[in-house]
Amino acid sequence: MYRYDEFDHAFVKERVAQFRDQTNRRVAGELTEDEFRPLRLMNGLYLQLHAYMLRIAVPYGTLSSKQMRQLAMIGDKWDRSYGHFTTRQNLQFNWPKLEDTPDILQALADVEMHAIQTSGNCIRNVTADHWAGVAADELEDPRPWAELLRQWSSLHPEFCFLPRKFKIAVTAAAADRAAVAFHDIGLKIIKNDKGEVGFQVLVGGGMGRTPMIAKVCREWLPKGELLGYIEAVMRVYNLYGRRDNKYKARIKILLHEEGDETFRKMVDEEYQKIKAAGGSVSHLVPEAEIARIETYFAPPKYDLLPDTDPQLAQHLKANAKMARWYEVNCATHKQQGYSIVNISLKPEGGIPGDATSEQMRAVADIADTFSLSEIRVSHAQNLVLPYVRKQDVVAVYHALEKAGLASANLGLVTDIIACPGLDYCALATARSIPIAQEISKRFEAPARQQEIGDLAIKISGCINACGHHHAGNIGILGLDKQGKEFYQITLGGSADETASIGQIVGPGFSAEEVPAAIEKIVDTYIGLRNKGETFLGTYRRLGPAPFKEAVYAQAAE
Amino acid sequence: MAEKRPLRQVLTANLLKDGLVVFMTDGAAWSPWIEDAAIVTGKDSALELEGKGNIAAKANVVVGPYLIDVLDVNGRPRATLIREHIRTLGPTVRTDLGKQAERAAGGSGQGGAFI
Amino acid sequence: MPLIKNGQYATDTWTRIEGEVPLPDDGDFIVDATRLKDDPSVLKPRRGRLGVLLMNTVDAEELAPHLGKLALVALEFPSFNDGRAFSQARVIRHTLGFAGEIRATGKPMADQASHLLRCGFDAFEDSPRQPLEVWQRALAAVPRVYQRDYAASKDQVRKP
Repeated sequence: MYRYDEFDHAFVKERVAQFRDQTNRRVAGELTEDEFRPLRLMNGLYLQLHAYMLRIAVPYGTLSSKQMRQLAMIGDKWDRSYGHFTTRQNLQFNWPKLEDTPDILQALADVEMHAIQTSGNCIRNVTADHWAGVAADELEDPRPWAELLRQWSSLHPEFCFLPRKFKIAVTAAAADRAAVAFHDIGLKIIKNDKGEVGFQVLVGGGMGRTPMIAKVCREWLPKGELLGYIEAVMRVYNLYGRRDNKYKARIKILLHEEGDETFRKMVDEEYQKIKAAGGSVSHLVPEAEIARIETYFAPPKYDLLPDTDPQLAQHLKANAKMARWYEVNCATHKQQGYSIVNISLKPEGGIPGDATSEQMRAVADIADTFSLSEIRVSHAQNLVLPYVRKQDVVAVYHALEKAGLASANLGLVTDIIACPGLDYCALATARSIPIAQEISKRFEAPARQQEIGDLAIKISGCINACGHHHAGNIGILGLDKQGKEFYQITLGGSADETASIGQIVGPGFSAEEVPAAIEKIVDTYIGLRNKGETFLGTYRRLGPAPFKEAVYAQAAE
Repeated sequence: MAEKRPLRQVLTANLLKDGLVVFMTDGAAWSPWIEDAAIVTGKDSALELEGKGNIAAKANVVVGPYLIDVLDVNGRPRATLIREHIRTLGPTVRTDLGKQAERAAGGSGQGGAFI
Repeated sequence: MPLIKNGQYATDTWTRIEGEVPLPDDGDFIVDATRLKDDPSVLKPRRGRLGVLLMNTVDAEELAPHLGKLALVALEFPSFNDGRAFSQARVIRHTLGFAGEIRATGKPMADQASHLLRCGFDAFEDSPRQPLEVWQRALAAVPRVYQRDYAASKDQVRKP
């Protein structure tokens, strides 16, 4: 993974000093809250329902054991010993004090981390496929480009006061695990007809009040042209994005209102000007720089191992529970003899995405011993150990079990994505976590989960959709109806390469009614599915009618 | 709820330094407990209370003061909106955290269960 | 009002003229950018210098044919978080190659000093809340930047 050089170290140190000064000026009254707010947001510090909240960047979801341990320490020292992994691969602490935040940022800088631009109307954390570098199906590791974009976007002088937030994701596999179609800019590393590797640039995806799927803005872009082209997109957005209405300020609205063709033309015209102004090469990514970054993402020195490990096979035969976990949570690795081990942070009935400092340390220790000290965070609020040898899987399983981190439910009905919701968030209209907990408990039986198969349930506590409910196979949106929490269910969303936005199934439900409604939906699927067909497949084949009927039929009974 | 009661309000904010939820008391001080909050009825006294809150915000003691509606429940003020009620408790999914936990440990000095 | 230019207090020789008031021969005057189209007489040679105030809703490229006759372009921040003028400055300074003064007016924050300079601004208006020291301190807080072609100086950026 990327390692800071002297420049990077100095940069984050300067950010800490800058924020410490700004905080001191705020406390002394030299800055008003209106003046200070954008400055603290640029360092990821929100004011939420109960306290401040600090959102720490985990660039493209990659963490070292050392960094994970530091996060655990920060949780113990300055917070309540737990953190929440988010749908943008970041980590949130819910109880920091303003006066402690400069020290927290210093503790982060000490391990090459920061909270820069995790909030505010600027370019946010660049996310990537959480199996980058190890996925069997990827073209190449997308993370060097995510790292390049991270550096390029950090304190970019022109693009820090945009109409609204801006989110970029990168993927390099046909199977899209980074939800690029739902980002302001989605980058797909692909080969053109000549077999050259470059970027397909998607623009204008997003969730929120008006979910939209990104459109192709550039079919294929040579790698070296990435920054110049993105600069063109950002300039068009900065100049022409709406600033009159917070809910119409994302680039997706600009694209929609201008039309795809016109927008593409605006970007191309701007890009031509950038190329002309800079001479023939200055807009290009310096090859030396990308080569430098790429060295950090070179594959590790893998052991040469056979495809199957006989000891593992034996253990799987003898231990049905572990076999189930292996089947569900462990994915095919690019390198023979290795496995991608996924850690579910969705214990049945638990709080999705939360981990205690103790659990973080356990994961760090396991990663040190069994995963070359590297961990990933997925946008589904789970963790990944990317470099586990098959011969170590048994030991890893037992260690995870000990830490309460061995739920065998990756991608299943109880692997629910939920935002913090009204339990934590000042923007929320309803609670999301208790809904997730109730659904999870209802479906917790392993046999039931196995029967249902892959099912992505995603819950948002308000229209801002941080729980990505629009992209849920089953989505749940928490609203307020005459002072009571009220939930709208959507069906048929998907965040992968077949991206789709869920459709509302009908009138909403009270909190108490939601689990039963979900159960009716699931039972309908099971009753109507073809062999081997997922929930999403059945829904797309049959449409909403049978589900609507099942959910609302009891009114007629 | 058949009876129409006069609108009762309290002023709440977050402390600048640590972000914790507080309520303005009769003495224009700040308490973490809603039971200590000054309760106003009627528009004039509400505006006056808001004014005091804004002074405290300008003095950099608190951030974002605002009025919330409360009902009298067993002699104690209870926020009418669920959002504001959660703010007086803590996360409902972690009853070991926030004011609800401090109350359970006797922190509010008021004793007794709080609904 | 006092001007901050090139990191120091400077005398502001410019006067804002609104509408179609004819310009005296002597003196530096800032007119509405729209006047360049509506009243071409404003461009005729004078002893004094000409500057324009460009609204942040206007395409900076519209100034391209006139930049040779301008000594100053003033851009506006209706509020500090309306960042359109950053792009306008970038276009005027970098794309169009303007070498005159680019002034930030309205309500930029001193904490944006580094962003302003790196986009091509070189003059800011002083105010009681944001005297020179505050701008200087804000600038000193960003000695190092990543964006190669947006640097105030070559020493600032990451070397390849």
